[in-house]
Amino acid sequence: MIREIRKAFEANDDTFLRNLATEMARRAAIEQDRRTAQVAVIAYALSKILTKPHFLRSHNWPRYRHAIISALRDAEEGRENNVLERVERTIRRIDSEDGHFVKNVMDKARSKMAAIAYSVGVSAHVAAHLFDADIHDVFDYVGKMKVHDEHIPKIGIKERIDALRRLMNASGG
Amino acid sequence: MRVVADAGPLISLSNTCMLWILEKLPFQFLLPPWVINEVSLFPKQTKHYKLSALRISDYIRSGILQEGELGERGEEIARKVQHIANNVYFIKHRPLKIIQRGEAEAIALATLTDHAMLVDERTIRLLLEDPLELRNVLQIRTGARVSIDHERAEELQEIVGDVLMLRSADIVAYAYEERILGKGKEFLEAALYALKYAGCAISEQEIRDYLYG
Repeated sequence: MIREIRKAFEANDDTFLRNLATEMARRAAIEQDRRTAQVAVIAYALSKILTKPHFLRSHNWPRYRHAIISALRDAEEGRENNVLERVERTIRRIDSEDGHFVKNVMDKARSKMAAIAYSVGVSAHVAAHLFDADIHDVFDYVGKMKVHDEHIPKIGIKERIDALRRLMNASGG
Repeated sequence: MRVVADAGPLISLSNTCMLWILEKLPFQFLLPPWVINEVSLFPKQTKHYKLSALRISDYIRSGILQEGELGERGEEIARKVQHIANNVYFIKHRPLKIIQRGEAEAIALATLTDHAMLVDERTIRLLLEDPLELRNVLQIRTGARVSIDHERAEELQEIVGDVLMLRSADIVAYAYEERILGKGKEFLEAALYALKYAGCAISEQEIRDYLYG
């Protein structure tokens, strides 16, 4: 999988990276695998970086691009354990030097991937924990998705309020 | 009446400036210890959500939101709920972990109090209200065959019993009906959509059905 990420990154294929990230986020949710989750976050963050011209135009870009590819190669070959952290550190450095937004690419990627994991059916808390995302961000992202429109609950607002009133009467207020 | 609150609705209500509604409602809101940590203590360390955390902390300090004690029995129920819930659904014979300790604590606390829970997210609600529908969601979204252990699902039902699941949108609608919201229908509609976009698991269809159905 790392090899696919590296090749897509070298080819500037942000669409492939984004699709791969989504697929991996789903798999991470199903398998509860933190490493898959971490790889999904990196794939998504790299896809975002590739879509931002200000990153690609930066004079630092060739150096960072090389560092990312080199780290991904090391990960492919299993040369060191913390190589994904190395990729993450590089992405954070790019973002802090050339990013336009206060919220960094990595943290956004974590929240976005956690929101996808939530859409699979695990709880928001499980998803947030799996991707080390902030639960506030996860709800924020989930609110922007159509996930809650895909399923119409059998009990609507009116029925819930009626049930609430019945419960209040039963419990004496 | 005691209502156990999960983190989600507090976050949604705080972010949409509607936390004040809780104060006006005739309920005692109980928070499991884990939820307090999640909505009040931890986010204080981040600039982005510190204001939200401070607002919620104010409500905890003033007693509008109270810490709910689980006790030994509650701890035992939470342990069981977490274990069973995470062994109800299977993909390729592997159990699907769908809830965490904090959520299990909230469910346990609801079973020990008045069986009412404030929860904005879809998974917990479906797990307790409609476990077969949750399986359908899991199947559609994972694209894999999801099997369900019916015995465990029933065991969960037996432990938890009937718990009324309310969302932030439901209590805001209730506040509107009780004239607590103090605004017209247009405001209510805007409030419901604001909560939806803040992450509350409510569909557009449900909002329309409630307002114009």
